[in-house]
Amino acid sequence: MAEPATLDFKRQIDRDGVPSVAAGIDMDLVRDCIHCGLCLPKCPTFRSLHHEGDSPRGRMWQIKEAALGLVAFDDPRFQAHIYQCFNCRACETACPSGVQFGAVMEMARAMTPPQNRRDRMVRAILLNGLLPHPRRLRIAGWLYRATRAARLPGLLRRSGAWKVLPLGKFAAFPPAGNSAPRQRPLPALTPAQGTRRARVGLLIGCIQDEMFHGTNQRTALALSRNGCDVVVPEARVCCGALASHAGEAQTAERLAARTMDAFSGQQLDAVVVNAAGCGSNMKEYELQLRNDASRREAGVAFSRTVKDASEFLVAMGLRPPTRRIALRVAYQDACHLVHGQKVHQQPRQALKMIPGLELVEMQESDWCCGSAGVYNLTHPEISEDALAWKIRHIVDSGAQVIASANPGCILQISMGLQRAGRDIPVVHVMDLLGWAYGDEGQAPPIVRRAMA
Amino acid sequence: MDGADRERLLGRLRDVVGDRYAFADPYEMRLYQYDASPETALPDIVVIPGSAAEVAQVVKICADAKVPITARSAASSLAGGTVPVKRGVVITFARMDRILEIDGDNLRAVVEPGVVNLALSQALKPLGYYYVPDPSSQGACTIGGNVGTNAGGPHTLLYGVTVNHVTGLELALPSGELVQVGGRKAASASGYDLTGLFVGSEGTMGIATKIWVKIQPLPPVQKTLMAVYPDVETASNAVSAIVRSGILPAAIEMMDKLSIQAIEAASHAGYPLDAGAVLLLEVDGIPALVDELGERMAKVCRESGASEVRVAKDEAERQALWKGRKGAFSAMGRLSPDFYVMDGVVPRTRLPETLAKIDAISVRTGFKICNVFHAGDGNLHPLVLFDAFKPGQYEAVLRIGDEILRLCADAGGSVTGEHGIGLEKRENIRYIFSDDDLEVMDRIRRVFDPHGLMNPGKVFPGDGLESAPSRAPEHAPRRASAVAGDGDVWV
Repeated sequence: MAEPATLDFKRQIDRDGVPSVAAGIDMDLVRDCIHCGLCLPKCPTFRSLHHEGDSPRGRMWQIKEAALGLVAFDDPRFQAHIYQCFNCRACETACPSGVQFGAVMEMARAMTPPQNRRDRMVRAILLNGLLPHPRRLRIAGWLYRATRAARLPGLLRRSGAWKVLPLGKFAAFPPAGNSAPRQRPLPALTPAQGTRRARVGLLIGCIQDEMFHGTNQRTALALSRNGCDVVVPEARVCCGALASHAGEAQTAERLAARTMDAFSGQQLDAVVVNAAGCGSNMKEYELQLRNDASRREAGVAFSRTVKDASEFLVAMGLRPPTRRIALRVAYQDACHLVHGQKVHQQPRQALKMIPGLELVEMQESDWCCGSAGVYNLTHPEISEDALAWKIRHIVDSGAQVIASANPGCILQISMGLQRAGRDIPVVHVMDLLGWAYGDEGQAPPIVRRAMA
Repeated sequence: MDGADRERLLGRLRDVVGDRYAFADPYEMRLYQYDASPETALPDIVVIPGSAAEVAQVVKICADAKVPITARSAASSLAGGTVPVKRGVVITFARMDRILEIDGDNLRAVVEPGVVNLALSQALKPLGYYYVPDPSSQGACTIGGNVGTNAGGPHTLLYGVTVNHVTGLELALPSGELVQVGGRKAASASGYDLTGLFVGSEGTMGIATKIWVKIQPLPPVQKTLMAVYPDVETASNAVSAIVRSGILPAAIEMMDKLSIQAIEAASHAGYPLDAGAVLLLEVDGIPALVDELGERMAKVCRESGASEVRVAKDEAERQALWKGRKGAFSAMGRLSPDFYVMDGVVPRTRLPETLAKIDAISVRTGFKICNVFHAGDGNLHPLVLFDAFKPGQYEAVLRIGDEILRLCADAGGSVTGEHGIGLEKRENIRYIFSDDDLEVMDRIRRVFDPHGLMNPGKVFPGDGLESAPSRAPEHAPRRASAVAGDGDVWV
């Protein structure tokens, strides 16, 4: 490991001239950052770790120095700071210079392999071994639901075994969701009800459909109730979000191409996505396909058709749901929706359409809950800090139910609330909307009681 | 500092703050070499203390070892104030961000130096109060840094700058003592104003570890007007017309065409892209007063050549306009990879000619210069856009900056309104202070910091470790004493 030069940045440039920039890093994007520091108070890892190296400005600085060859990409300290980032992109919302932090971070991660054993395992098993493979996913999903049907979570909780088992906390405190091992796939076409207003594709996703199949059903119901023909492609695809956010560029590129193929030739007005991380990724396929000149333009065109479910429904004008759900609900902004897609008001507007539902705000609803893709698996300690802040704000808000818009957030917050002994279910915005449109599928008891 | 000295010092510092919060790894030092200015310099050691007592011990250990100390919190300094140009130890306040007390009835709050300016006002808001000084970087800059630079902001036109809102300080001095100046519950006019002496001293005498601030009830109503002008000259003349009319608004801000482009691209607040310049004005108070003031001000603006005067129709629009204005510097990142911002002050009446001269410099040198500034105070912020990766540009820009500050000083103004002297303006300070002035200031500093270890290399010309300079530049005004200087530029 070479020691970094001891000269400061400016003198080094003065002395040696501007070094050539590493291929794979777009220096123009890096130099959008003028290191003003306005991002610092919005960064969860800076709040947790107090170190400039774990702030957005510090990370941009390191990426700039690495791209110029002043520090090495494989320096373990570089890797530590780069992989300690949630990639929640709250800094993008805070940044007046318009720095595309997420894009730069993904480029930087693609330049350097992950630093710790845990991270490498998560990549090998989850990102590359499981998510891209529909058959393996179905088996994993069946296993997951079977353990729930067999009441394994309760056993883990009572025995305390969850505290020592890997992934124990997630297994012991699963979210409200599907537990029937067998489930009927969504039909290839759910026809529009009433006047037909659009024909849309629906991404059912990888984890989403195995753990939150009901949410997908309710999303399809909400769309069809609003006059949409809902098309579900035959080929089961993973959009590559988790891979791209973690810097697995090759896997991400392959999955992006496959996802575009799955929705091609269907004459769709939009591709609707109910998982914020996936939507954000699919809106940025230009970035994922940056090394594939032949598909890049098609990627741009495809991304333009991608819409978050609440974004699409609110833009179209929601037909008012009729079933009352008398509940106090707080909305938790999914990072990749509020910061990644700048969709902030629409989920709230959708919830407000539900008769009887009272929307309350929690403090810091736009702060990351620590789920952050696979981050809660790779960096559990820092993730727990963010979760603790979130749980406190939720409890203070007095909400009876939390609505969010991303499977990762729902898993993480649900685990945190149950572990803290709070009976506050975490559901998807589309779940509440679906129930309000008359869906009779599994709802948490507090929601069921609130439905008139 | 050689390796063995550094290890020894690091060991002693770690005994105080713990291993995690003191480090000297050369890689990590690179992350403390910069702030929001173009200046850079590497420290030897970084310490992140968690309490005032720890800060005092850290300062003492460093002072005993004769090692320079530079305080840093958000490192949003635009003048290189937190760049450790003499190396040594950087103390950051990332962990000391607690609001210690809010006493609404006595209109005061007590905070640690790392509290973010806006976070204080947000915490006060539900109680019906706010902290007035609002630097444009208030979303990131800290009260500690505000004290160091005597920070201003748009709303200081009517309400005064940081020194008018800080009533007491707890300070860690190089002697190792933790002392308190001011901070009594009742205002006191007896004795020397030591709090005022430290505010704006840029960490050259001691480091604030606790800050007593005034808080103020939130105004019942705030109204923001945007007046659109065909060019900068008409807008600058309008500023004098507004002041002449007998109304002093809470804020008068000006943005020129290029700034408007950047701000609108970043904020989408509704700034008119075809305007030559806009003034952003704010009045506050009870509703009847605000309506009356707003109408009179709109009239003055129209009579002074505004083609249009818009009133923010609701709080959301008002917030959007201010967010755009306050994000202006950073928004320049959209126009240019690098920029250099200055902080000159001129008498309001000299605004039109000064802006014309700055424009002439831009035309002559070929560098674009934007202007977005506190027009009511005559506090200019010319931003020179450049590309640091193009050889020679940085030096050329520094020369332009020097020329502009010289212009301001010659017009009877100053070389800084609120950003501080820091590293970048320590030579320019000669434009407004004579040798005698500087020597008086240096003697005062040495009362507290006899060995020149506190933020060395800042504020004073030369390398900051020497006594005041011996040769006066010809243009420096001679004055009996620095203390008689303009209130806003006193160290």
